[in-house]
Amino acid sequence: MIGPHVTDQIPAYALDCLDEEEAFQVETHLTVCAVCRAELAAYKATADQLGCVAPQVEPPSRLKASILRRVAEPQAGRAAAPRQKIGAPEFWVRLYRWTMNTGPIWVGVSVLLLIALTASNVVLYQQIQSQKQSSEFHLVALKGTTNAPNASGIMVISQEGLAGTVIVDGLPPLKMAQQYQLWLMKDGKRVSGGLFYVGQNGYGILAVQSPGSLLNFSSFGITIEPVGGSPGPTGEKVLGGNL
Amino acid sequence: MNIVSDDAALMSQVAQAHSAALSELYDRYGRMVFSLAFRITGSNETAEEVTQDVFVQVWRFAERYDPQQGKLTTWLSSVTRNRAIDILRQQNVRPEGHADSMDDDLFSLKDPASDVAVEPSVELRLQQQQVRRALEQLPEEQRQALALAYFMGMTQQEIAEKLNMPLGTVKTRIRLGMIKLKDLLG
Repeated sequence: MIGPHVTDQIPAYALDCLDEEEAFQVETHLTVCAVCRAELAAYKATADQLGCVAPQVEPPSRLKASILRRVAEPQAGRAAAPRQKIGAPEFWVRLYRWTMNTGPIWVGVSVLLLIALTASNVVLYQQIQSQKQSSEFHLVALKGTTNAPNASGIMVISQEGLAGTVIVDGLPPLKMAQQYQLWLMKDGKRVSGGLFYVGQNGYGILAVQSPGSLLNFSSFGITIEPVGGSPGPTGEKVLGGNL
Repeated sequence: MNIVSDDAALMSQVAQAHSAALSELYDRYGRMVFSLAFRITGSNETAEEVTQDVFVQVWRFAERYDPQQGKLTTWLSSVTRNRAIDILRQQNVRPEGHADSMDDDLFSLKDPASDVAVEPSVELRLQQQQVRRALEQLPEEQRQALALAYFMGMTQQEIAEKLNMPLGTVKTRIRLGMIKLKDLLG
């Protein structure tokens, strides 16, 4: 069920000036409402034009040269630039800066926390695998990739495969121009299963859209795509699992 | 190499790792990016960092730019604003902490002063004129609310507290202002 449209809040959401609770409500609605997503895209295009009329300030003359020098460095290329600098998931960037700023003692604490989180994910995965054998539902554990190592998720599929729900946790909130997209895969072919956002805490839910029974697919994945989705996966894969 | 004037073609060359194309891109839009970064962060140093990060990100992900999704200037503005606000949050700085008097020219509605170099991109100049004309048609209080949200990254609640007015009033001003702008800018 879609629920009431969030038309009144979309202009403010496009400006990113809703409070956290309102923003999450809008994001949850957007995962199931194409009408509001289209409305958001239009307001986002409006909001993004405001940047061109900021009071003009001449940049320092050295700035251009420093940019060109930086892209000329081998690690600034498209192969293996430092992920902490550009394009890295927001959580990974924050963790890197936090550990660098708070001293070596916290590096050890961070490592221990990561080990504990990874271990808990493994335990959860094993529990899900054992549940799969006895439940009337089909359960697919979604594991975080190297792009989102602390993310986890589960897909719950009805007995006949005609309905499914994805629940994710630990995914980094995305920039305004991006959304998470679910893919249903079989024999190398990928079909979109729907789009969604996550809240500031990384938690999100998606009612899966499928052209047929979800049991016809062999695996599932979630990638980062532009708002409105893509015909095929173009962005980083963050979660994946096999039926 | 022959640098073409069309933004989409220029980005295509950037995607093929032509540094001269990135240089041309900076010449066209570097000041716009830096100005927006400075307006948000209030710091020359941070604005430089943001501008560097934006153009390096353009260099790395140029192939993701889709002209069908919108103008290059709006894409650059979005990336710049997101990056600037991200950096401020990482530094635990609230954008409004550097805000000058509320009498500031929040949006640059006046034509550029004669001592400021004319924008090299005709498309950008036209877009600026169009956006200025649209903003001029908004009541001052709506422009103020939009500027605080866009440049200062403030929530509606924060704007209401700063301006000492009811939250409902701020919500209405932002909603009506954005509706009007969307109609005017298409």
